[in-house]
Amino acid sequence: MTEFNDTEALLLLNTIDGIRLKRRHALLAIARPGELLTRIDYYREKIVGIIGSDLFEKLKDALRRNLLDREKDDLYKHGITAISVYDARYPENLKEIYEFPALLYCKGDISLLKKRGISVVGTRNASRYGLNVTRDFVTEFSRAGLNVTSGFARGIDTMAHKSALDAEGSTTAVIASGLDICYPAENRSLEDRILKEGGLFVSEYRLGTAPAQFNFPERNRIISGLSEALFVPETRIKSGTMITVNHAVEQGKDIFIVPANINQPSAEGSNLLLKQMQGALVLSPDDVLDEMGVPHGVKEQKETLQLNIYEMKILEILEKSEAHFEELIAATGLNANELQNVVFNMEMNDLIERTSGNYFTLK
Amino acid sequence: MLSKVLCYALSGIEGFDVDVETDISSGLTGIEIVGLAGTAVKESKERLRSAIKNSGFIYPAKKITINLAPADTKKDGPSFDLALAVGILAASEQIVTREYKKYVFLGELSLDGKLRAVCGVMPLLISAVQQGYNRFILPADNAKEAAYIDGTEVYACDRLSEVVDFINGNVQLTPVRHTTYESSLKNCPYDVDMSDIKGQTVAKRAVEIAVSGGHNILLMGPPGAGKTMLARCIPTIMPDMTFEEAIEVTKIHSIAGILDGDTGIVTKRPFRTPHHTATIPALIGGGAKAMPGEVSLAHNGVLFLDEMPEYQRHTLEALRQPLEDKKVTVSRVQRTVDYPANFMLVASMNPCPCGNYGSKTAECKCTPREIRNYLGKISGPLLDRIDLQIEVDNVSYSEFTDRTALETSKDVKERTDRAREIQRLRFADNGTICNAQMTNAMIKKFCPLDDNCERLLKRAFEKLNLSARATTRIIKVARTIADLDGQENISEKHIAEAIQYRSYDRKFND
Repeated sequence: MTEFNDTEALLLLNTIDGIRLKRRHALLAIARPGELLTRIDYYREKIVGIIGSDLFEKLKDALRRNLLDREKDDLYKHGITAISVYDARYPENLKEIYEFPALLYCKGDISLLKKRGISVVGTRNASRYGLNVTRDFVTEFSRAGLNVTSGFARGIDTMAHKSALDAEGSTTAVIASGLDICYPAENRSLEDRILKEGGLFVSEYRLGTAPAQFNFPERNRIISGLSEALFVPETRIKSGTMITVNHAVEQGKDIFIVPANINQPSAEGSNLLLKQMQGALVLSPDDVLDEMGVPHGVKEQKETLQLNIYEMKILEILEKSEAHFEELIAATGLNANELQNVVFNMEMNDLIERTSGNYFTLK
Repeated sequence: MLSKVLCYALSGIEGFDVDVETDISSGLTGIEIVGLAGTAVKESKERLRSAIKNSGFIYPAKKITINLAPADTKKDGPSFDLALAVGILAASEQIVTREYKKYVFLGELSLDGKLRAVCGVMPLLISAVQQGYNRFILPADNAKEAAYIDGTEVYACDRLSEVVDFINGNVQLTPVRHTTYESSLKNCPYDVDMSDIKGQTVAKRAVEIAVSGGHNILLMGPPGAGKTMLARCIPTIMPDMTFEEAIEVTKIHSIAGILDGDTGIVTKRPFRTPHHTATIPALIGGGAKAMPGEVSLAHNGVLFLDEMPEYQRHTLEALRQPLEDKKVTVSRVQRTVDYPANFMLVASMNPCPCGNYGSKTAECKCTPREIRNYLGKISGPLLDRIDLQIEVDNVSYSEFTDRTALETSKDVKERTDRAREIQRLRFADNGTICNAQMTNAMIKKFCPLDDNCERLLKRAFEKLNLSARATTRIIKVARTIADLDGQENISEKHIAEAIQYRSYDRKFND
């Protein structure tokens, strides 16, 4: 009789298509997976009671055909480490959640699993405001030493990963497919960058699993579960982010939300959430860090710049609201080409930012 | 009796002389035209019969043989009608003098004996004059066009009978008076003006730079932002065409048959806007007769591609060679023709299929893939040939622009003319006429950058995530901005401004 350890047993269980979250948890309630599969005939009755005799035969077949070696080879080829819930490297945070993932496939720096962190998720079609909030907050989180966990989707998620790396922080991407599949495909270069710069990819799905629709809500519980808090820069009402927020509430995590323009469709969810839980409202990265009890340095003072009269005038206008190039021309009395120079310099000095349609905002 | 009448035909934009030999002999009544005559020439039999009869002459009831020499070159078009009629009338001795041998005859006949205008008179006359012919008899409607050619004696007639009377010495005609180019230049107002455009300061400035340096330009903006209006204003601030340029343009337009008979010469820079369903032959030139395409019709002017990504990709790719060589070679079975195609490319596009990508007021519903596919229609090599890319924005300006006095095209043109003059002097020995056409060697020579500029460029690249191939473009545009500024050397502020006109790179890089 072959002996299996827990991780091996879970790898084998994952090869059986019919055994998903619920059944797996029911099986684990019988005995530890290593024990269960090593003495499969002893537990036969109980196992059949959960998965039926057809699947039981399939499972036995899988044991007989020695699928384990192939599974392990595949993992080795992709540089993936499988970590079971019985493993010392498995994050404590995650054990506490309902229906925790029994086995995590990890690629990258697995020490990040246990690093203090915050999860950042939001809408795929983000507004400029949402993206800016994400960038500004995540930059501060990274500087304060937090690991930033997100879902690798378009929009806010992508921005969160990028900003963490830009600030030389660490980041974890939890994805809803096998680790050999890059979804969305346009993020392939980001995937390379995360792995190259010491980030981590996590999934509970076996290699080759397609990013099926029903994987995403399941995956979301891991995003919120991995960190001690959840930050939502911008979300729609009907969205995966709302599901993640619900998971976070169930898991008892702190939730932080910034207010947004009430007319902005991509932020309707944010404002709705704020109406329901006013305690979640934050206005700056420091609010979040204080709430989490993360020490953070005093904001580094920007180098004092000698501003000329036009630059001061422009800053004065932009402090009120964003302004169009034409407005700035009218306010400063400069020519188009002169003003181009002034705003270019200000842009270079990180004072202002050019948004689309020749609008300018404070940075 | 035998007669020989001179006519002229076109091959591309070059003309060649054709001898129309007519022989009338006894035999079975009929007319035969030989010498590789095309359909339109063969059909002229019927026009000849009616026109001669209706002009009060007798159509000989004998065997008529007409040869168009040289017999090995294909000839087409109705411009031989007049020469054929004169040939028949001379051979049948209804024209009694030998005077007709002095003239080149061009013109189409209508059934009642009237003369109709023909295409390509300007290039025909130019070639004919070069080859030593200088007396012409033309339809009156072509007179304006012919009046610009020096060293000619042109007689314009309304009817066939008038031509015959003139040759027989029954009436006296005065040759067409020459028109000077300068006189016709004055009365050609454009129907748009820069001062009609409210706001759009950035775009206007970019257009000014583009025209000054001959740069191609891409206007990006949501529907209704005024991209087309801006593009239409571009010819109004381009330098006036010289006579040589005007002749080049007129020749091409004359061949294509789009010349305005009232003016006879193209004095305004052409502004061509082919529809986005245009085929390659329509754009580049082609057809059985190897006719000029839109790129040649836009020669010395503007080719405006509205909604550039809507064009078929291979059509756009076909533009690369004319953009590079400033001419196109159209090869067809029967002939190979070189047409000039030195145009300024102005393209407009929405930022995404729905047009709202990056908009303040409306939400973009396009997926990243859709946007990528949309932008992917414009290839990198083509984008590389476009130096300025700017955003045209859709805002209401009433509040802050009504106060400022708007510059007219005339004001702007003074500046662009000055900048062009500087370039003309700079490139006098280099065969180029504007900054956009500088080669890498010329950039090294004429655009030295000091350390400050180099530093600024480097910093901007890192910060704004620009692609490396943007460098030469930025330097070329900076050179033009410096010229507009009247500066000998490129300084930081010129580089800084040039970088601002790389919206496409900046918008779609992240």
